[in-house]
Amino acid sequence: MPRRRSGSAPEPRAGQAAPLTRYQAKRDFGKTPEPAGDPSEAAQRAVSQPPRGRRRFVVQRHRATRLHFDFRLEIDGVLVSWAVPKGPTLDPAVRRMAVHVEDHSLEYFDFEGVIPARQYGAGDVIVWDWGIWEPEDETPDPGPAVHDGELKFRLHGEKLSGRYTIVRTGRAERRRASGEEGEGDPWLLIKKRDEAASAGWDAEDHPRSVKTGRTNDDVKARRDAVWVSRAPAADAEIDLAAAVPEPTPDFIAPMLATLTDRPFSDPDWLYEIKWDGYRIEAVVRDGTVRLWTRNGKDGAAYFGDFLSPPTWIDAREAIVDGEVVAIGPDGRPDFGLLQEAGGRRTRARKAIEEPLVYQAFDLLRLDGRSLLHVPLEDRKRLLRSVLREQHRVKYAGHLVAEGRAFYEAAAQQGLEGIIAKLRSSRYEPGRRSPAWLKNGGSSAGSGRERATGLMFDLGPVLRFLPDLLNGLLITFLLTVSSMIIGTGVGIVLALARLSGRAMLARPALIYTEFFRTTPLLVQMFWINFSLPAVIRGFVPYFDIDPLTAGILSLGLNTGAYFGEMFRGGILAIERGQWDAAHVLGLSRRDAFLSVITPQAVKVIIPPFAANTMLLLKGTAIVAGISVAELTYKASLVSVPTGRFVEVWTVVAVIYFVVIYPIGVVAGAIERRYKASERGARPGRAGR
Amino acid sequence: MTVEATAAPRTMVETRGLWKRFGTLEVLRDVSVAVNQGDVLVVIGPSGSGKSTLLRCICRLEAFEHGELHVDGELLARGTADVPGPGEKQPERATLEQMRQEIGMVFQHFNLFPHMTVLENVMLAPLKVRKLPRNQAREIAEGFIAKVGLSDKLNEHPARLSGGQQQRVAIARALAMQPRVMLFDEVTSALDPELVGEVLGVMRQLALEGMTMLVVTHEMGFARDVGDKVIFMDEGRVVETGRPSDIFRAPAQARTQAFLSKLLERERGLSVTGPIER
Repeated sequence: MPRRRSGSAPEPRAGQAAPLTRYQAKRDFGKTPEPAGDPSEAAQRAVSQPPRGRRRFVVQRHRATRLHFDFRLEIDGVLVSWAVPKGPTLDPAVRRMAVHVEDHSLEYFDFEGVIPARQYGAGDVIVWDWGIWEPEDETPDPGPAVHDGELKFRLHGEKLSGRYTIVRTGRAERRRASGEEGEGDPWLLIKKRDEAASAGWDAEDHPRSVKTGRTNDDVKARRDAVWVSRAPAADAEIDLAAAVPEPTPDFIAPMLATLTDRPFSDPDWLYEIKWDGYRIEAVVRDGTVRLWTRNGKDGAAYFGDFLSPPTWIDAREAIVDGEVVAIGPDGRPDFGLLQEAGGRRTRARKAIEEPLVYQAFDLLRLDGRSLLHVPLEDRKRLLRSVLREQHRVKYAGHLVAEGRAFYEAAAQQGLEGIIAKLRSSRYEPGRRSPAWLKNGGSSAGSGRERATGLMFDLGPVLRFLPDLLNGLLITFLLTVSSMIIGTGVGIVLALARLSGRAMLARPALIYTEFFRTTPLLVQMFWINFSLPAVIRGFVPYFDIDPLTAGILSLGLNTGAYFGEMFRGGILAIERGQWDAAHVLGLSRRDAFLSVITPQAVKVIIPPFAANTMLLLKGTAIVAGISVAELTYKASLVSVPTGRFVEVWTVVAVIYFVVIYPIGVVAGAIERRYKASERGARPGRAGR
Repeated sequence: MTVEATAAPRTMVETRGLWKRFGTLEVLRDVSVAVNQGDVLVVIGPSGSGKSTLLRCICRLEAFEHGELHVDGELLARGTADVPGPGEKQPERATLEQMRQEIGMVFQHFNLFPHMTVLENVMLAPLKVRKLPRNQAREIAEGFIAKVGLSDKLNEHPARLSGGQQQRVAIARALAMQPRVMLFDEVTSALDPELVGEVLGVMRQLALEGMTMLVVTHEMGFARDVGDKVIFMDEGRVVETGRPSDIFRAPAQARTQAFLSKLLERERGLSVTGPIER
């Protein structure tokens, strides 16, 4: 990029090329995700210089043919760039070689992603550091300073900071006429001694993106994650694989808690204070906030615009779930006061926002992505990282595992109660879920100890019966779907193996043996976790939801067994039946359809019924990938009620009620078939 | 060659030098037989002599390695191991399909379709192979069921019938395709003795009507009365051929003689007085 201006008066660039010509010439924007940039805009920006102190810089860690760091300073509307093979450092003792490369578009500032193979700079890129910079007094006008080969500046980044100098040490040979001025020139990037200097500091010790917390490997694997720098290291990474891009809904019906009568302690659960307030969903979009009540009514009618503008959240667009609480003079939530506040607001529209606090406890969307399928604990961590707590908005914290102690503490504080939430649970809009349990005002019982006795108390279990039946529905869905898939696959396998052609029979045999000799659970893990990862290599962001994965693996597995069952049924038919059909002139197909199949079906009925029963019970295995079928629901319910024996007994009864009729029906069908054959058997005189 | 040939006799089925092996076991060795139109050829011989295999080769249930099969003058099959000479024609697939329908076969174990009624058993081939409309197929089927005397069993399933009745249904089923040749493979061997007569009666009737038949049987009475020609097979070879009267009275070969006398003994032992005429 030519920098031929002298003096400080900004003027449009002169010279052989418009800004970014070289940048654009090297890239095919149909194939790379990198931003194209707009030369006229760049020229425009060159005229309107960013104010001193507002210039940005970015360092991108770029794994291309060779690993290097792209060091870019915003100057005159473009990112003036150097490739620094070993990366910038805070160590004043080392000098880093830097090669001047073509200017990049300002849009490149936060580019992070994968540049496809065979494209210019193919590889993966993360935003390794970013911030603002300012030229030092010795070189007040950076454009000409770069042109002249030396720039002194000060960085204010997240990793890099303090004073630096970058200085040209030579000239690249003019390779091509089209080469941009200065492209390929060797420079040195030097850290000056100051308070930010740090001996022995190396860029490679700090491998994560400051934008998303990802490493280059994560980006290459297209793993979505954010880095919560404030959280302790072990908790800092949040896996957002389950977050899906989705248009913003106006309102998501809130998930509701099921009432339970005893607090319990369990390491899989977290516990929040049950706020004595008004459930409010805050929908933040482009600087505005809309409030919704539990039933989807306009919350502004009660609380006006006390959450506007949304300066309390670092997000362009978000949906937050929480509770509006009125804090009494004693510092405790006061529902009476809240009603007064809400009431007065509707009547008098008087600003009495002072005692109102929004306790935010869940995050359902963030910047274009739905988080409903992200585990609760990760949603809360993400919420905490974007929330800017202030007097109106607080993050509703929680305690893990120690439910009973927490309940007692809350009771002593005069709080209404606690809510237990399964740490791994998804957000189930509009549902009263057993993954969220509220303890009412009743006294803290001794919990599970009481239930481990011999007393058989179905009361608390029956309250969850609708949930168990809901699980049963999923169990049914799994069974029916996998039977359909299994039947289809089984027919194909049986025909292939009976075809007498090795080309068909051999793959069918391999398929059958593979699915029969490896554990279903492992097949399911492969299909749920490995298969989507493989497909993601071709189709970005491809994913399989656990239910589909469960159905698919059960279906494919069942197919292997059904195939053998069908084959057995067909082979059980006497050779003479084929002979008779043949001498009558029937084609193989007609013989198969009219003569063999109807008889094989009869043979297959008993094993088919047995397989169906096994499958129905076997679907429980998909609980292993968190599909909420019957046993999964049961394990969910058994914890808060503390009544393991009762819950599982109820589950057994449900299974019995469902499975027993299958045997009865199969028996009836079999008898009907047999009915036509009763009577005389063909006489066979031994001769 | 028939003895009482009136005009030029027309050869319906002819095998020329059939060789057939299962693995290393040679079951047919150079078997040549010929049946004229309207004749009944009875094949006798000890078990394992290749009688059934011969019938199964003729109706194309089995392939053979060497030799030729002709039906009504058409080359229907050639040995799988034979290399045709330059001028020799190969049997055409269409001819083969056509001829398969011209040959009916009845098996020792009936091989009725157990899931179908009597009527459905008999209608199946006219419907599926001849592609006749349902009412026409039904008409034909009912006709042949009446012929074997089972009009009152139209809607029974085979399991409801006696062995003799089942075998008669099987004959009706084969006849429904209106074949030009009928093969009978020990069709009375699986029957209780008192049921043998009704089946033989039907076969006798067919012979009288001029059906060309190849019959593998141990019913010597039937062979004597109905057969135009008898061949005796042993160890895959045709040992002796002749008129029934000659063979039964004075077999030329010692092996034939031995076989016949053994058979006679057994029939006496079972105190069967011979086939019953219906």
